[in-house]
Amino acid sequence: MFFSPISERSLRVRLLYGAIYVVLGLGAITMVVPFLIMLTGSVEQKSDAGGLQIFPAYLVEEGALWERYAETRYHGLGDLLRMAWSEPSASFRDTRRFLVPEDPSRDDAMIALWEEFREKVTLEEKLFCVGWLRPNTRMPAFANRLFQTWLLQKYGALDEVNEALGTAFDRITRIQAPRVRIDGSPLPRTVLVQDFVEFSASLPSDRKFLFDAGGYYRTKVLPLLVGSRIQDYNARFGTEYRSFQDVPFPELAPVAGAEPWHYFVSRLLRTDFIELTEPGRARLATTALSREEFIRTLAQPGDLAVRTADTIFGTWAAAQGLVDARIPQLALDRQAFAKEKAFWRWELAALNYRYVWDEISGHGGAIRNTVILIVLSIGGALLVNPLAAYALSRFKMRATYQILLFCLATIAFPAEVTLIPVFLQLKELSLLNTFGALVLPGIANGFSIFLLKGFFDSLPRELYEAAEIDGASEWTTFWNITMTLSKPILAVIALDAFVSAYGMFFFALILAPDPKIWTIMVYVYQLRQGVASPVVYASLILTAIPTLIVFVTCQKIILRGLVVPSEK
Amino acid sequence: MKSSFAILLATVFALTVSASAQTDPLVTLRVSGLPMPNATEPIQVAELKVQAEFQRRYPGITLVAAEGIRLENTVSEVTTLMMIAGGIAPDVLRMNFRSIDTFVRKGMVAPLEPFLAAEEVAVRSEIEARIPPQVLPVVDRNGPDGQRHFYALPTRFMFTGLYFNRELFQRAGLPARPPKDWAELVDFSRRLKQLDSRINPVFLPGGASASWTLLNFLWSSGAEAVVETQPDEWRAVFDTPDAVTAYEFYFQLVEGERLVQRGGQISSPQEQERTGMLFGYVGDSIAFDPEQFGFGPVPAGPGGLRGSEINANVLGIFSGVTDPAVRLAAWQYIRFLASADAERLRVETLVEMGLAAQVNPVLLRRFGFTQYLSLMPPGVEDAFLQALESGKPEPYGRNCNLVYSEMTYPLDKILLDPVIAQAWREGRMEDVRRQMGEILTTAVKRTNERMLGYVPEETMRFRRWVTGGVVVAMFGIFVWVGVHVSRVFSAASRGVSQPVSGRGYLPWLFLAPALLLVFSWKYIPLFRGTLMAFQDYQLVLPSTFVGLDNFANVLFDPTFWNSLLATLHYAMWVLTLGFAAPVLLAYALHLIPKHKLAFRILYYLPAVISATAVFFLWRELFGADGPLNTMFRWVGFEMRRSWTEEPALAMLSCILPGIWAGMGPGCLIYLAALKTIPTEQFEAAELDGATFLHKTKLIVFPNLKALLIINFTGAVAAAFHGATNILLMTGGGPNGATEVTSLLIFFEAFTRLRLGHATAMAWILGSLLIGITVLQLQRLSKMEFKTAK
Repeated sequence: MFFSPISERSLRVRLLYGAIYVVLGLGAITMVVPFLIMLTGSVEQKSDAGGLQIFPAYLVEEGALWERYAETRYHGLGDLLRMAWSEPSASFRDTRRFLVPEDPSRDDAMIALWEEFREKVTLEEKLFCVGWLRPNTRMPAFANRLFQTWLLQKYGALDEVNEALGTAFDRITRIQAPRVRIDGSPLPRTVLVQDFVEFSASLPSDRKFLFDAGGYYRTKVLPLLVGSRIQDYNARFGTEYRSFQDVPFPELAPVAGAEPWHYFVSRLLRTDFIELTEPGRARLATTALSREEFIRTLAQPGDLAVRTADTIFGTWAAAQGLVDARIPQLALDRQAFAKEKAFWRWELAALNYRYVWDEISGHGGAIRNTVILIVLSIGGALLVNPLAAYALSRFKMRATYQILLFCLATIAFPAEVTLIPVFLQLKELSLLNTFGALVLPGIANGFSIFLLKGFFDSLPRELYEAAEIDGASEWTTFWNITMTLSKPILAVIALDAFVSAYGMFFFALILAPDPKIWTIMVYVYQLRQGVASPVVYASLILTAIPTLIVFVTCQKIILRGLVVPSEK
Repeated sequence: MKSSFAILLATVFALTVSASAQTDPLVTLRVSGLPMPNATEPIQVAELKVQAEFQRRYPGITLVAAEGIRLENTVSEVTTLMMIAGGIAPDVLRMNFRSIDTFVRKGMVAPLEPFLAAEEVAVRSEIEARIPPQVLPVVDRNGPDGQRHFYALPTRFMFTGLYFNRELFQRAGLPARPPKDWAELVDFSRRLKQLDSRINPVFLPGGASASWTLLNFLWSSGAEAVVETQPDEWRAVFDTPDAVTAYEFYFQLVEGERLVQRGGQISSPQEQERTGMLFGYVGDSIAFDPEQFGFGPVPAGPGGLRGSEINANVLGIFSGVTDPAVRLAAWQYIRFLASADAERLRVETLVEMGLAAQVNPVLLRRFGFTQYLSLMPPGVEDAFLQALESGKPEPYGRNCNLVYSEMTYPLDKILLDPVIAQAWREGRMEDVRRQMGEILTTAVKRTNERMLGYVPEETMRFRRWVTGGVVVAMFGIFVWVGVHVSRVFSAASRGVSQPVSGRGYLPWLFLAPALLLVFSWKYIPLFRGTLMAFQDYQLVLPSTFVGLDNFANVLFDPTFWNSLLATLHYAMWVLTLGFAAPVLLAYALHLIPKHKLAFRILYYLPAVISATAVFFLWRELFGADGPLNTMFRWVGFEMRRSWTEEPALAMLSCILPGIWAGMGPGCLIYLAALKTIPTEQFEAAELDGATFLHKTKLIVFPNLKALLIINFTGAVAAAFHGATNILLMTGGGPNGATEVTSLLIFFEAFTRLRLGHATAMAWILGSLLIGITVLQLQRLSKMEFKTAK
């Protein structure tokens, strides 16, 4: 005991204890908090998530979950959200206020009308937009993963997928759903796009939303074209709307406000959402232009008709006597959300982890390579160095200390001098991109040999003598006596070998640039460069699990196997 | 007669060539930078179409994507260089203007003359007509043999312009075009900033390539970056009065008026929404929504000049390709990508996708899309044409792949210079310019030496003499150390009794694996490394001996001495904070009477995530808007940058993660050692009335001394070799503040492929550390090792 029981009760010692506990406690907090931040961060969906959150709110709170729901459903793109909900002021920061409907009965009536329409009229698949896709690749997306799984199911395996798509993806997570837009050109007719449309058709309707040309027109195009105030629009076209939300977007060019309608349809809207009217077709025939070029350049307002879900619905509802009917997307979203809260809570929390797991396991070799590398490293470290140390400790040779110095002197070699020649030597021996490159140069360690020799020297001589009398071979003596007695220290050596092999990525990258033998850590390093922090956090936690298991199980052995030097 | 014979020969060759292309069953061609098959970004979609057309025309050639590793904090061509070094080079090299010199000079690109000669005259002239005259010297240049060769074909020309955020411009009441000149750029920026202070009026990238934007400013002000004084002789000239004007303008935007928040990203929609303008290439892939951003020429400088930069994807054949079939396939690929047919496909695709406004108007006219020209705002076409005509190729002279980091060096210095900031605030513009001029003159000298390899012969002679002395001294020290150590060692080893006499070959059998491995992976590399330090070592071309030049270049390279300073800075932190932390933790854990195990586990927690992961985690924590900065802002500090980019904090940010993660595991050995102290000593001391400090000094310290010394010498050696963590955290930045020598060696060797230079550097570093190594070996020879019970 450092302090005797009596002095432990003195004020001074108690103060000292108190101070130490406070410092240790503060330190412990700094050890734990980054872990909590990491855990919370790892279940985030925003690419710019940050801050000091220690618990993910959406796991318990409905409003926060709804925010996540809306943001992931609309790909984190405000334009899409505003288009679908036809709410010019909506943004992901304040989706909460849309969770509770102002007038639930109106919601129900609209949904009923919409469902009737969906039963009677079939909509083409191109009018749908799959939700939960991210246009940027820095975050994983729920539907993207579904698409990847769907592709694997359709074709069987990654190789077949590649063959069908004419691609060479090294893992399935590399495949991204094509980015679908309401403006610009229709998608190119590649196999991938055709597959995506097929996949989209296989999804239930609450996993998709509809391209709402009217919604886009009202929330994005009009404010840009005529200014953000509705008064400007009213003054220009002699109308009396209270807000942009009231401006209708009919299938055919309207009488009032034909100019912005035509600008949007002819310049921006995707041409496969446009149908040419009778006069339009006639005019196209007189030019030498393609249909696309004609729409984009010469077409007059009367030549064009918009055929998106909202205009089709509007026309259908007008036939039922309902003027200016809109797709009740917000009401539909609320309904779907209420049904599936528990599902989304779990899916969103697991999303990043699934992605990292797919990324690592989907590339079959990574786990196998890691295991091989660890086994080789531990095996090498546990055989080569102890054997040499044993020879030096047990046999009387004239050169013992010269040999020891020969080995130990290597710790004085400037690592940077040898690094490059090692690289070239590996290259000349054609060892680059093999496990040999990762293992061979590091197995024999002068310091380990020195340490082990010192330790073996301290083992009781009597055991060796007894073994000799029994006529045991040197190998048996080495294995049964020396190694058995040195278990704790060998465990520490093995553990070190494990940690450095498992964590190795820097040299692995340089010595093995070929992905064929990349280990988990190398993949995680590569992955990290293309994704946002939440995914990085998830990858850190996943890759920590093996180390955690090893450390917890080896706790006691580590303390027993530590070698403490003392002066002779 | 002679020429007609040549044509005949060429035609025959071309015929056999095309015949073999058709009969040849399958050739696999490894190409870097192939577009992703699911690409939706317009330029990539266009490239996909070009690729599909190539496959249709040459069904016998299979294109395989050759993708290398991406190293963080390095520029793009490093990937290709590392692929070549690693023996997995692509057959078709994709270069740009600044990097082509490196590839050519190191003999990595095969000249194209044999193929060009074999082409029909029409094809040749078509290829040549597509290369603007100012770009010709980029690809038609002197090779390592001193002869002029045609090395590569440029495809997909791009030039710089200014993108502007339509929505923000409209909200701020600005016209729907980019600013005409610098004055307008400042004016627009001010108005955007007034509209909303969260808006970043101009996106200016940070990092080592920050000066890419500056290049446009340089040209617009009438200055140059590098010029060719004689054939193949290049000099840096970015220190003229005009250049000062360009740097001054940059300073005004970032620090002078603080209009612009430099650095950061532009990849997420949120970031794009609050970006007003950004410089970018037209004709290159863009990371943002083209609908959201309009495009126009770069603003003109004070003299009315517009310095637009021309760049292109430059395709060449890797010189290591020996199979003639693959070579031919590579040529066919390059030729097709650089052809008018491919260009037409690209333009058509972009027009189809509604992006006609962002296509070079010359190309629109050439391929008959004149109706789209009317979509352009008035004056833009003329401005484009003017910019194209006066457009300059990205610097392509000697080692110009380093040009941006060389020009960023004075830029960062200027931005952080207190004298300039002070003079600016007080309106002393003459002083501002003078100080900038001085910084630039020093930087230009440095660039001439480091990048362009220009050292006057006389200076070089002097340096060789000095270096000769240094190397002889180094050698002497090494010999003395070797003798000394072996004597100490054998003296210390005498007296230990040896149990068993040698048994013939058996001990050697046991020793063989270790000795063989040590010899082949430690001694041979050491020997070769030593040799290399005296060579101009080349990967592809034969290496030549250069005497002491490598050492001379290192000894007289200020970057090396700066890196040594950074190393000392780094070592200082590691040896104080880093070394003390686990000792103190162990002592505290040893002292407390309760909850020892709980604390031990808590402090051990970071060790379960791998060392790599620790640094990833902390990079996130250190981020500009990360938790640490958020916390400091609460307390009222102004934290503008992430810790890794803040000069004062960068080094600390490289150290802290290691301490955080290393404390727990590191304290274990001290805990074990503390346990071996017999408790009677404390009891006896207590009876004598010893206080806590007495006990620490008289009992604990002497018992731990051996361990402390051993660990300290180990820590010293480690402190001078730490590079991985720094590469991960800062990549050597900001402005070289964390570029320690080991990292510099790594960069020199693996990203610049100056292997001889790097090894010479390593030797000098190693000889500086020899003292501590001797001490380490000396102490070790006197120790014995036991496990703590």
